[in-house]
Amino acid sequence: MSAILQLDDVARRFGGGRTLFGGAKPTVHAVRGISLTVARGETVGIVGESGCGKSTLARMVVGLDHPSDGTIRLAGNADRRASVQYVFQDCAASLNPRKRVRQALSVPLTKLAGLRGKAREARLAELMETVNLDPAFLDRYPHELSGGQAQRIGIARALAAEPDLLVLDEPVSALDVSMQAQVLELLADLKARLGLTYVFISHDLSVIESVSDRVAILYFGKLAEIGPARAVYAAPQHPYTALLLASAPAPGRPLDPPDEDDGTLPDPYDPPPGCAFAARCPRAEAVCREAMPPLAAHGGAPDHQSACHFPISHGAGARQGGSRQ
Amino acid sequence: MAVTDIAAPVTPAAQPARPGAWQLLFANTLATAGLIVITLVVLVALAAPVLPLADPNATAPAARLTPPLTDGYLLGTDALGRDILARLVWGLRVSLAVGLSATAIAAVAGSLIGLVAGFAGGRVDAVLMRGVDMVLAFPYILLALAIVAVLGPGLVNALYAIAVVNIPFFARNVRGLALGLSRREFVDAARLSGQGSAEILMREVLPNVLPVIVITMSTTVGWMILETAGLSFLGLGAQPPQADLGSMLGDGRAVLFTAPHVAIIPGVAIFVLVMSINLLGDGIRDVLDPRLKSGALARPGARTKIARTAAPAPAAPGALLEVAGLKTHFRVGRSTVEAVRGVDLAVAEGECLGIVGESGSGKSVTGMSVMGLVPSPPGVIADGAAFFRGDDLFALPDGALTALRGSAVAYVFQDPLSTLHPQFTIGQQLMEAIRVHAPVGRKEARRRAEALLAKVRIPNPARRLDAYPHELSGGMRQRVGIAMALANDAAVLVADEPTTALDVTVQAQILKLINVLRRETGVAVIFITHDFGVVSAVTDRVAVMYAGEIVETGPTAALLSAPAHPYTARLIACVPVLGEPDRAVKPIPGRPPALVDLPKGCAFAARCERAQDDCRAGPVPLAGSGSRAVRCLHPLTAEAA
Repeated sequence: MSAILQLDDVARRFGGGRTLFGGAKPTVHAVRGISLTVARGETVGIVGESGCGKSTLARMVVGLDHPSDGTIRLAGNADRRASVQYVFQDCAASLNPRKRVRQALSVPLTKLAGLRGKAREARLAELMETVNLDPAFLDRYPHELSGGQAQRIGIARALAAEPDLLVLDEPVSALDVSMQAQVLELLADLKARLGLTYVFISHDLSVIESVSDRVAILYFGKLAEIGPARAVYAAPQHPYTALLLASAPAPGRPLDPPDEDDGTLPDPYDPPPGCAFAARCPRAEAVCREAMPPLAAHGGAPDHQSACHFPISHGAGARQGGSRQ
Repeated sequence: MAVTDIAAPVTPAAQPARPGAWQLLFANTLATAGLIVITLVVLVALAAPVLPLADPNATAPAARLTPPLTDGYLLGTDALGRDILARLVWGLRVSLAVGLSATAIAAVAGSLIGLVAGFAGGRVDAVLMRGVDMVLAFPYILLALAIVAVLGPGLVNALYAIAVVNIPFFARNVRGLALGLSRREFVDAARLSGQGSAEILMREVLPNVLPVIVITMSTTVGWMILETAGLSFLGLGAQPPQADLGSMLGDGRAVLFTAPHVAIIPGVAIFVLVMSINLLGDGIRDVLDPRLKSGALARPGARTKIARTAAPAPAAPGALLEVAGLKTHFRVGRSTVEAVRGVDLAVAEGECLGIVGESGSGKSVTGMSVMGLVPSPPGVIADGAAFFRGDDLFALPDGALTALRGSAVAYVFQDPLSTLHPQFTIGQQLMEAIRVHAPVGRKEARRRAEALLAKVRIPNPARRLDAYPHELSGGMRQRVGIAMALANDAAVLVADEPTTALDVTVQAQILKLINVLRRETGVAVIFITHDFGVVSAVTDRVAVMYAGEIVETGPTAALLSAPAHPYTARLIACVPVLGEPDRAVKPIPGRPPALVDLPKGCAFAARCERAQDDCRAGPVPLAGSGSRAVRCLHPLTAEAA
């Protein structure tokens, strides 16, 4: 499989510089060096809690923001606007309240696909069919749509320019569970039919597990763990991944998270020199607070990597995802 | 990969009709009066050339200062013997033209400055807005005088001066709005659709600020006409012999005591004109301003209106809180939204009851109805009762119900940031909550507040008392929200999606806390959520709601492992489950029914695979044996599931 997207040590800082009177402005470290390769046709799930930098990362991938350091490369130096598109979390908010659906969908068709007149009308109808909506919705205003319908329009708009890669930023988080299932099914169907590649961002571990081929766990702007979804879920190496999995409520499972003072992230204005998770980690030792652990393979599989000095080791039986079925 | 469930395209539902802008405007009597007057004035002014009027500039020294109602001179003549009626009509024309053109110029220039400043931000914004601030720093009439002094007197120069003086009003209003709009997601979406900055500004942002521009215009036209009159009165606007309302007033000043009508008539005309424009302007503002339209300024009553015919008797003796036959409706215009359609619930001490449902299922309205927290209007409790320790809460007088809020039944909401006051420390807010219900001094209240924070496992409670809500993380704020609810030893806690906005590790902490509190204090919890994982983690029993009714209820573990109602089964099948990545997620086809026009049979029948003719025939009762009950004629049996 060829790579469609490659991130090389991407970092994003906000603020900084000097004020009018020469004082230093504080700097927020949102993304602190992420390297990631996305292969054509796969779904990479990105999981993280609020403030971990997952939305900043997504905005950089689609070109709404630019990295302070590092590079983002697309296969074949393609035009990013046309080949990478973004699906917003709150699709109702991503539609202009004073414009009809037809106008919202026409813009990318005109600007990115270069369609006019009859060809554009035909493609509009085709797009509506793709996302399984009646063409009557073209003449609706955004406030006349339900959450699930708005999300379908958001997906249709992203598909208008026939992109190869879709960045989905919490695409189902704002939806009711029955609508969520409809949108997830539509996304799976579109991927199979159009040969898309997804970067799927969510805080919902079970949704990520059901859609992803590979999972990246983000903590405080860095990758904590990355690997094939089954391996990461079955045998988490990073203690943060293990905490996340233990905290997710699932039907029929008692919930017993470890006691913590406050599950907050470290100060983004002043990141710690060592592992950002050390303060919350039961396995942390002195070295964790002083030296940043590199991302490395700790188990058997080379593609399952974690950034931890003392990764959790699992028995040979538990590491194979198949053993749980 | 064709998916059978969603093969039929989603079709739009019919839209309810909303009153149009004109209807809203005509509902406002004063604005309508203003509109009628201004229409008449404009018609007369436009028709000036064809009306049988005397020459407004023809002097007649013999007929000077003729009083009104004299033969041939309806409104009399001025000091040069000119016909006041003719001058008034022609003057109205000039004043209106100058006022409207000045408004148009100020609106275009000011809006452009505001749009660019708000959209570009940074240095561009700073430079433009400081320029606007400089204009504002001069007394406006002084600035207008200075501009006219530079350009020379004359009507057109006065027009420019007034337009320039009014640019800041437009620039500031539009800039504030454009600033917010430019950071909205639809602007990002437009960028990703390939639009450039200028296009985004004109096509995406401008349509959203137009209402504000129109509102500002409608409220400044009258002001600009006054300013034109002011400059003409000072002799800097219209030059003799041309008539406009301001210069006519100026002419009358010299003969104010000998012939008051010369000054009074244009004065009254200015008053009527500006007054009617302002009334109309206010009316237009009310129609266009979304905050006024939504009725957000209308103040709801202290408790939900109750319009039940008879109170049912309590059916679950021994329950701490019981809801019986609750029906809560929203009356909007002529239609009635049946949000809750006959709900029965009961919780015992230390028990946790989950209410599960999708948005619009009525789960939150059920929770809010118990203590009369549904805003009225539009909410009405149409039937049913809520019993706390056997007392009917709906029958209590306002004061007694208010006293029970917080001490009998307390609420925890999804977003504690919106329920905590940002300007007070959490200690002050907790102490206030304690002292409303208990006659204790400040010291004792502070001690109790500290104990409460310790109870909800907030580390270092003494120091956290002096923290402001924004200084706490989301999880800590929700702990404070729970502490607030427990401040007066509430017996029942209604928790409405308390963990939905929280991160998963924090959610786990809060759920654990609720379980610990239940054990320690025996508080009963009604837990409203849409998440089966959360339900499984905290609740003993669960009630599933659909379209305002409980469709199934039973012990949590039994209900989740063997759902009897097809809706429950389909809802569980919708959700991906952690650790089961291969489980197919099966969506429910269709959408929930509109609550204004419900089918007479089972509300889920239209989406149900098992539905038969009898399901649609009439209401389906909630029937069951023991702890489980289901509202279905063809339930799933344990073997079939």
